[in-house]
Amino acid sequence: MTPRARVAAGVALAVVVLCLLAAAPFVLGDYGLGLMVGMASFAVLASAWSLFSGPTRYISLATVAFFGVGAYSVAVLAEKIPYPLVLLSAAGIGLALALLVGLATLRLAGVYFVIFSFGLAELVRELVTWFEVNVTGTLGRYIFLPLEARHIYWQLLGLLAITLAIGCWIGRSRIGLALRAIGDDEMVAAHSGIAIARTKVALFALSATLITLVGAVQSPRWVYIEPNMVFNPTISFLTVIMALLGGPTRLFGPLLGAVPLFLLFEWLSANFPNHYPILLGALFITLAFVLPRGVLAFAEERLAAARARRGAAAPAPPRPAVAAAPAAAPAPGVER
Amino acid sequence: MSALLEVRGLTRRFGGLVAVDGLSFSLAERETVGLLGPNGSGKSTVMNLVSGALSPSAGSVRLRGLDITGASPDRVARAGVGRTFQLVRVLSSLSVLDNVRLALAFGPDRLWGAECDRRARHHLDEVGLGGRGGERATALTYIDQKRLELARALAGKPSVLLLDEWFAGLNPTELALATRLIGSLRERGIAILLVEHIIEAVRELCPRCIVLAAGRRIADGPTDEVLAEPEVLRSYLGDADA
Repeated sequence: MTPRARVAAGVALAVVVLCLLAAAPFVLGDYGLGLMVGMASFAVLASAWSLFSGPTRYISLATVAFFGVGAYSVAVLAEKIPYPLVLLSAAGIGLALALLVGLATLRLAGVYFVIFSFGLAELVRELVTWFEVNVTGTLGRYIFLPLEARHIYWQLLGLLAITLAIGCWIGRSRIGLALRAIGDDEMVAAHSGIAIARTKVALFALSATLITLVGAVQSPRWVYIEPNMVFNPTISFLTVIMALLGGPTRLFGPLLGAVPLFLLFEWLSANFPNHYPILLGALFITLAFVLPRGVLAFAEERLAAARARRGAAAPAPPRPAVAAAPAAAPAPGVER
Repeated sequence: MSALLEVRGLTRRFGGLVAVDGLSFSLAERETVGLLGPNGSGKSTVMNLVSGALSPSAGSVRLRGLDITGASPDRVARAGVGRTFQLVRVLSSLSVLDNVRLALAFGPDRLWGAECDRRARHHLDEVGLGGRGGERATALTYIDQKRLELARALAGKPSVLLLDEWFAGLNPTELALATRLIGSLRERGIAILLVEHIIEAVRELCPRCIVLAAGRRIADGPTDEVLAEPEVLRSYLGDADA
């Protein structure tokens, strides 16, 4: 198959899958649709997070800052302007915040960036809480929009399609190569002609804008929101662990991590409501030990090892192990 | 000869330490100049100042008259200054070919697609890595990683190439090969500033040398004469009566 034909086949397959997924509300009940909404939401969060953090290995815990800002933008604007404008405004606010944060922090690297991003999310939550208590005089807000679960689901599905399309485009463009180079060695990347700061800020802002939109789109489902709900740091942690489980450097990796983990979390929180956080922590630790590079990388390594064993059993042309696993990227370790 | 690279009064202070102190020199088109000096004399700092990795505390750097003093490394690279690193640095998650494609994609020509691939393969052929583009960069041997670094630097279309101890760690056969390879760059019109401790390579490649001691230039002239100067010998070996 020529590369062009492969792309066409890929696009056709994606459209078919998207149509099938879009039909879910017609066959699923309320509970099933609720699950699909949650799954789609985390699939976008993990995929959008990986656009920036996957290749560059900057582990951001600021996901919930943008998610919450999206939700609050809708809560504040929903009754003032038409819904499409609400979404556009939320995206604009997320983008502006991301550019501000990006310009201020992307000179930080490694664990300092992780801590800053976590601190940012807490700061935004505290600021919103302070504002609500001291200025508006109430803690929570109601969102009354004529949107049902299926409308929210379709919007999230659209957002997922957009996020994956952007990820696919980045992976094939020079920006994708630049991001991977930045993840490997910023100094070499800079001396190869890449404008490091601009590239990082642009991708961080793109990723954050998509995350903001997830919060905005999902918020009408809750009807009532308050800071502790939409700025809950667990959302940031879940996003990271989902992306890392699937493999944040692969297009479909985060999706592959988000779906099973979301279902598992649902099952755990329903069946072990009191022990849920303990089980969650244990799971994170296990994943970090067993699958530090994600499911996809793990599967590729196993496949390569099996192929190498078969090659050794039959006198096939010898292939060095390193050449047999060229795509295995190094761990996006939390130390960066 | 007109000056291609013009460095004037270059100074860099780290707190109380003056790593490079009022250094001036120029590099003409196609000229290969050795930058020598004992450890800690400021050679690598000069490389970092010229390539934009560090900003000077004072002084100026001009490339073909264009002021690149304190410019960011990517701007300096696109202006035409390529470099390799003292400790070899290849991009570990990328293939050999992608290491070179990167410099073409963000170099002055901003190549992408088939032409980028073709040129990347050409640069790999040039340094003797033809046919190995699909391997992971870290799977290469030490000398091959050095070759890859050179291919990446050449892909950026440099008019000045900064080589920081590029010959270190090579065995005699590799050294002979490497010397031929670097020598061939002169014919392509590239000027080279060579930081090196391996004197045979310097003698073979550099008709002219600059010697630094404690950040200051203590000699600049024909290599044989410079290496025979008592002050240069003293800076390397110390005083006989010390």
